[in-house]
Amino acid sequence: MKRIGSSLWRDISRDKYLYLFLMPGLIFFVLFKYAPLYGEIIAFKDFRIMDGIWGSEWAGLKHFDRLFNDRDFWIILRNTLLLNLYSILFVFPAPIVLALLLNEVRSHWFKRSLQNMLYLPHFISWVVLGGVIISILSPSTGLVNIVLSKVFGIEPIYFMASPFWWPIVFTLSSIWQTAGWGTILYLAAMGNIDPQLYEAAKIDGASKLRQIFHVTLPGIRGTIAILLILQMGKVMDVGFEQVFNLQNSAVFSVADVISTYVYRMGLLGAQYSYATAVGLFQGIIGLILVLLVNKAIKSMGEGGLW
Amino acid sequence: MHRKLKKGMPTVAASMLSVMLLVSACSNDGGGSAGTGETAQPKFSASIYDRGAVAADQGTYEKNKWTDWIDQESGVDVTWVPIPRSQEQDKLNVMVASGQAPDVITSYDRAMLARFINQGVAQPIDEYIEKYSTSYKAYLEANPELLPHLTFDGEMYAIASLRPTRAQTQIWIRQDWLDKLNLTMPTTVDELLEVARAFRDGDPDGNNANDTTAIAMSSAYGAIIDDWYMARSGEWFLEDGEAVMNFFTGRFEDSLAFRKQVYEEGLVDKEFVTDQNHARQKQLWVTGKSGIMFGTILDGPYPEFFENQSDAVMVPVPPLATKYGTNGYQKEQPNYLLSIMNKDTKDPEAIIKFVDWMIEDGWRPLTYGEEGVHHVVQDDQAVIIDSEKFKNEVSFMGEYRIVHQETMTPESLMAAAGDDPVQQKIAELRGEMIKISEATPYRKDFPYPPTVNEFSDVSGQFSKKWTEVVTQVTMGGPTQTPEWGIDQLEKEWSNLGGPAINELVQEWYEANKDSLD
Repeated sequence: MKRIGSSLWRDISRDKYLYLFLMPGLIFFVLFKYAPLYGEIIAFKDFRIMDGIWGSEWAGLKHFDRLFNDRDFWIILRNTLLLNLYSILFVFPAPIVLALLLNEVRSHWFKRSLQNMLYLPHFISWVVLGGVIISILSPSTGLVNIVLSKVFGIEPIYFMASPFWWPIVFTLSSIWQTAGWGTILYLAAMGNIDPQLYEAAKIDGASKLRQIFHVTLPGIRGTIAILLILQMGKVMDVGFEQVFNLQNSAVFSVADVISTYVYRMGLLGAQYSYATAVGLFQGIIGLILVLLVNKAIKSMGEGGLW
Repeated sequence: MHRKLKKGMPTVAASMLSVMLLVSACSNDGGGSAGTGETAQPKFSASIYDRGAVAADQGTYEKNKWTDWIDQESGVDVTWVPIPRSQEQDKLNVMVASGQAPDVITSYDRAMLARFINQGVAQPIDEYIEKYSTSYKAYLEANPELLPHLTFDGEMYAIASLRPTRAQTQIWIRQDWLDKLNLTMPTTVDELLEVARAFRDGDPDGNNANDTTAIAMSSAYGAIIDDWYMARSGEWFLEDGEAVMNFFTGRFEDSLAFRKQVYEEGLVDKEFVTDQNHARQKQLWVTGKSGIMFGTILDGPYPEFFENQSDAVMVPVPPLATKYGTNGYQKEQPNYLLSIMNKDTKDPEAIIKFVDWMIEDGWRPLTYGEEGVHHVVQDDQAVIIDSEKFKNEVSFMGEYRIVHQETMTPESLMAAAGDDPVQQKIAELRGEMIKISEATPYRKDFPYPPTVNEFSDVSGQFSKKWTEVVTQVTMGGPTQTPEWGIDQLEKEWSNLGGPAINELVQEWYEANKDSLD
């Protein structure tokens, strides 16, 4: 014990200025990430504004009890998990494929301008994207339906109001918005692959496709693994803005997720304790998943997060 | 590497530290006292609706020419806290929960304020009014009908004045289309359906294309239909002395049936669910693609309507009869905004003095602008000189009136319209609408939602449910009938603990019977 303590102290006193530089970051995390955790205790209380966080009455597990007995909650949980499953199956691989394609583009200016255009949706807010998506999918005036009926003779489909089509639209819109931006990390990882490997592969007579499978993909394995772990941590969480701007009363049965539920109960309904309990439950499941996936990935021989 | 870096480091670190200290020092004495020169005046903070209506060259809601004028004239420095109109619940909930609520919270949402009061955020104001007020006290004595709306749990918590007009919802119709197709003004809901079908099929705009959507909607669409059947969604009714939610009065089924029928017959826009801000609907109405508008005092007589189509004629439809009789159009609660006072307010006297000044003198310039610049006075009526200038420089100021004495009558509206022909048409229509609204009584059994916590806790959740069920019945085809809808609603309501809440509301009603008329 003593030895560890003293060596840590020696470290600090030797690099004290470097640690000083670390301070702003640390203070940020303590102040804005760890200190607010104190507020989580209202999940076990009946929070009344005037009594404050500490002064409110303890309520035990009452709010969790209500949560698990709420029929709505299970539907919402199912929707959240399903949308995230689609996201892991279809949205997660999209930037990898895109990055592989971009990586093979040889003309520099073409690659650059292509990348710029792909990044663009990332900078547009969901309020605007939502409006764009609703209008291009409109059955009477939307581009997609006009093409479908003129070219294929299909009856107009009201995509946004159909519980079957809505999750598909949701997933495709995620790909559209995030895939371009997501390529950045993969492209950086591909840039780090030793060119000698490609040369060796070429000498051995490997085709482009072979090179991708046996050089590029293994080269970015670590990056994919880390991003997958982070993605799993979000499996209980569907971005509020996207869902909120795309949903409507005809598709609540598939589009209502935990984040919109918390917004409705906590911010609109002012049931602070209950909403906190939902959030806490969501956070704990997320943490467990991150731990499990991290472990699994480490056992597969990758570095993992820690 | 380390060695080289280290030399310059102490100075860098020292300067960083001093910057940090400076920042924290600044934020300590901040507290929003920007104008330190005039600290002699008493001050308080107040929330205000931000409708994004302040033009850039006029300043902001927090500070503009008029807020300076208010501070100067009232003798009180008011710090205005803008709350986006469409986000008042989440913004105010967060402010209140984090102890950052302004001294005065102003809102139209009585249920939300009741919750704040129940949470101990506000304080009763009877005593302060007794002690400090003269003008507002006299105003209250002259308008005792306000009192029940200001009272929570037997004590007066809120400050309010009367609305300029209580008229709210209205169906508008194209008189020129009625004439062209030889139709008469509908008097019953069935006749309205006939007219709508004729509009759909009769090519009233004469463009030889089958492109007319008979009915355009606004946010009042559901409300108007519910009101025909005296079953406004989410409200409570008294059926033989018993408090019942509208869905379970037996009449709501008719409301569902109507919505389903017009949807299936293609009399409304089939894409209304994704048109959440009703922009498409407004477009249909102002471009002459639709002949009936389920609107309000604001939605229907749009300036664009007359600017786009100079020969179009719009008129209000009188209340329509159903098998349950004729219910009038919605009349709003008599009170305008409600303002409650934070329990931690340092200077209640300043607030009351401000309210006194506002109800006595302040409201007039905030309503009509400067005399000689924005309006002239003729026969005791303010007449707007230039409606464009008025819109730009004055119209947003109405938000600052916590209380006022403006009344909207057909005459005052006409007078205020000035010389602008479009504004005159709008004023005339609103005037007719106010007459219609006043002529027929509107059934509202509870003047405001029951202040029962168990009900407010679930009302948000239930409201999402019934929106969903209403949409399902409307769009769901032959299997999702109105009866099925009522069935669903009953299930959802009992899932949320409905039967127990019914009893609590009944108890609340019995206890407050006398003050509810």
